Amino acid sequence: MGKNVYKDYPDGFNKLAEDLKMPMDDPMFKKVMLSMLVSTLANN
Amino acid sequence: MTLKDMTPHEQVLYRSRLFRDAIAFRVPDRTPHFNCAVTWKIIDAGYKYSEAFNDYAIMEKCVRRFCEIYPFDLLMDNGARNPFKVIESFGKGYYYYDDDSCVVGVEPYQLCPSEDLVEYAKNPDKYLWEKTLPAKFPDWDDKGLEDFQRTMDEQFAFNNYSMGMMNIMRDEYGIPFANSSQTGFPAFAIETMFTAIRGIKGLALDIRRNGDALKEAVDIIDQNGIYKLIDKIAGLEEGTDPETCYDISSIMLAHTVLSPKSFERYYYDPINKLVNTIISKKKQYRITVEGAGKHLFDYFRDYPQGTLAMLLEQDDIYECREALPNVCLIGGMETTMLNDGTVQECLDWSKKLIDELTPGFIFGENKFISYKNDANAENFKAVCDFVASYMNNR
Repeated sequence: MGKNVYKDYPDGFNKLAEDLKMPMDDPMFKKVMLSMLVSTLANN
Repeated sequence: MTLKDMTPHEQVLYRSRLFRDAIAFRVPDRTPHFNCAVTWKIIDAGYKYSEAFNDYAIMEKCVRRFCEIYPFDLLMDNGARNPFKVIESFGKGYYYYDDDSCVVGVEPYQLCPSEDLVEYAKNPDKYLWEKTLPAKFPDWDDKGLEDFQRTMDEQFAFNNYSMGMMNIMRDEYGIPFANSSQTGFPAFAIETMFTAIRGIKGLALDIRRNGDALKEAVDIIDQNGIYKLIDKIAGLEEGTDPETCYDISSIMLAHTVLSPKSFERYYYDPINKLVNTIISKKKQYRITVEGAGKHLFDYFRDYPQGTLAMLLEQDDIYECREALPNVCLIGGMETTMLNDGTVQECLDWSKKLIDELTPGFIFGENKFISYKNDANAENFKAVCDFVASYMNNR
């Protein structure tokens, strides 16, 4: 079993947004930024 | 007062006004230049793609140098077109570049198979997270917080470069932002189908074999995207943003695989509603028509002058002027001439375009100037200097 504990949606996704360090600690901001990152990773 | 005597903010207002006048079919002080230079800037500055894509300080040097040598009024790209560092910090991406051949390209890809279209549309974040990314990255199961944190940090670095460069261009060089922050740069669902969700081949096959599911997915995505933006625009104050060249822009590329019948099924309703809402709010809209769009121009012929501008790639600009007398046209400067012609041929063609197509014309190149052979530097410099100094009230 791998170490990716964030694989489920939405629980894992939300937990990752919470765990990531970002310039702003606002939960909504962190979810939006993670969505942006997911889009970047999927489309590039 | 000339541009040299203006502050950067005054230049922003002046340049924005040139675009707004052109789209409104008023004769602008001079015809504005929407410069379509993209990765050519890197080569012209003497750097390799690998150097500029991996070092934002080098990319900034390339963009600054371009701003200082080649006068223009709006630039297509600020060096933030491809987030190579973000993707490479996580795994292998679809885009690639090669220093020797000076090529930037992309492998064909799709975000979901045809049978998952509706599932994807109902919750794109969930689908990408649970299906697309695990399929794309073989080590997805082994990714830990440190992997995501490293890539998130690169995403912020990329965003900071992009926003910082836009601010430098505005605050130091007097170049406006392209679009109003209130309205921006939306994508229609059928365009996202073409560029990402299904890819060119996938979309072409879906239109023929899975049209009902495609239609359902397109409608769901548009309801959650473009139609919400339309509602937002309907609630804005009337009038254009005086500090930007357009209020809103979008790119048309999917039309290259759409017949008029398919255009009506998947595209016409949202784009027609968007244009009509923009007209009602007295705003202005630029559409970049990649490839050729002539087979669909009938759908744009009846809108009143003053709202639409179209950046043309493969369509003949004089044929478009006849077909679309109501639309401000952007383009006309062919890159084959920019590279292979003489300086005098380029200047004569530039003058002819401005003299014959103004009002309702914005000077521009007919494709993204990406590769070394897209433009000869001496020709490009002469053309930029000419357009920046050729006044319409001479």
